[in-house]
Amino acid sequence: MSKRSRQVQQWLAAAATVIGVTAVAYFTSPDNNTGDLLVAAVIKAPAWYITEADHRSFDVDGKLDTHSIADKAIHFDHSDTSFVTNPVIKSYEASVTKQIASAKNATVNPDKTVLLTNNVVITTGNTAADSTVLNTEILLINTVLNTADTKEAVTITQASGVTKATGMHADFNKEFISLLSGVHSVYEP
Amino acid sequence: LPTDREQPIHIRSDRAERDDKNAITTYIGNVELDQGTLHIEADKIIINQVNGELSKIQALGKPAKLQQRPEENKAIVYARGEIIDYYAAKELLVLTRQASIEQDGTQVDSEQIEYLMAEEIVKAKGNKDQQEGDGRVHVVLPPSKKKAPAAEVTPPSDRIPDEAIPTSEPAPEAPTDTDSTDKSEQP
Repeated sequence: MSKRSRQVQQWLAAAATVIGVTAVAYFTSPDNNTGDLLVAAVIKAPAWYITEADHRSFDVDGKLDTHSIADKAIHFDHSDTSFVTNPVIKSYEASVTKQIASAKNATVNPDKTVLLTNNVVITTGNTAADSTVLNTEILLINTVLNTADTKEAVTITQASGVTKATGMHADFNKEFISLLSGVHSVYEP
Repeated sequence: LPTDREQPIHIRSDRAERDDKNAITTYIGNVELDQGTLHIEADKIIINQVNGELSKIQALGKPAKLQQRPEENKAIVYARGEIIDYYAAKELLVLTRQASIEQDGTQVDSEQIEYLMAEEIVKAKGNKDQQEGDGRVHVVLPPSKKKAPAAEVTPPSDRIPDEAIPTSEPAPEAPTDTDSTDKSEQP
């Protein structure tokens, strides 16, 4: 038997062994869920991991543009996704606070959207008279279009009163908010 | 009521849009507004604010309806129109197109009506170019409610006759000598 054919036999034997081991593992694992096996194969270690994060960015004139802090941030290269805990993101205009966004959790997606979840608070304006505070539980912010969307209950508090609704689309460039259903406003005299 | 303006305004609707730049909020779909006895129903209500204060409320509908009790002992005012403009500071109501206002049987119909709520003054204006109707002002005044004549009350048998009831008037004076002439005339 030539050397070449002996090598082929060895590869076949190795392949058969691998397939056999995988089959045994599959049939003996308690929940028979191939999903776990697949995920286990894909997840890799985080690319970076930060605690007590403090990040500032500046505009072309050197003025403060954004200032973000967070208890913890983890980034995974394979999905190009970052998971942030207790983020507070402040945006400025000519060094004056324009908007503050905070939540328990944030997911920064590769398409430049940020999903805020759990006690989401967005504050715009910087004096009591002209400030608007938005509260909800889930909010998807598109940082490119500068819009925010949710299907959850929202509460909007302003000096003139409080509005509650279900579902919202906000366009921060146009300073325009659409409330999608079940609207109830109370204006104080 | 005069105290209506001190009450919070409640607005309910299917949807709403808030234009922060121009401080305009638009409520759309089955809109109801309540402030004390003021009640508005419309398809759309637009709230204009100046420095955070409500300056104007515009209700649009087919028609939009409004009702309010001007004072405690007064009848409710009912107003309708395809457009109702309510200027909070001036307490002025402007009804436009198919306008109508009614209180206690008195009714005014015309193209446009201005109602000064505090003074309870109504100004109505017709529109000769109006397609339907004659475009004039129509006023309906109910017959005045005359006081019915006092019905004669026949005392029922078990009633206490008046003479028996001590009245607060002074008792009649006892007759003196000067009145002797009256006595001689008595039978």
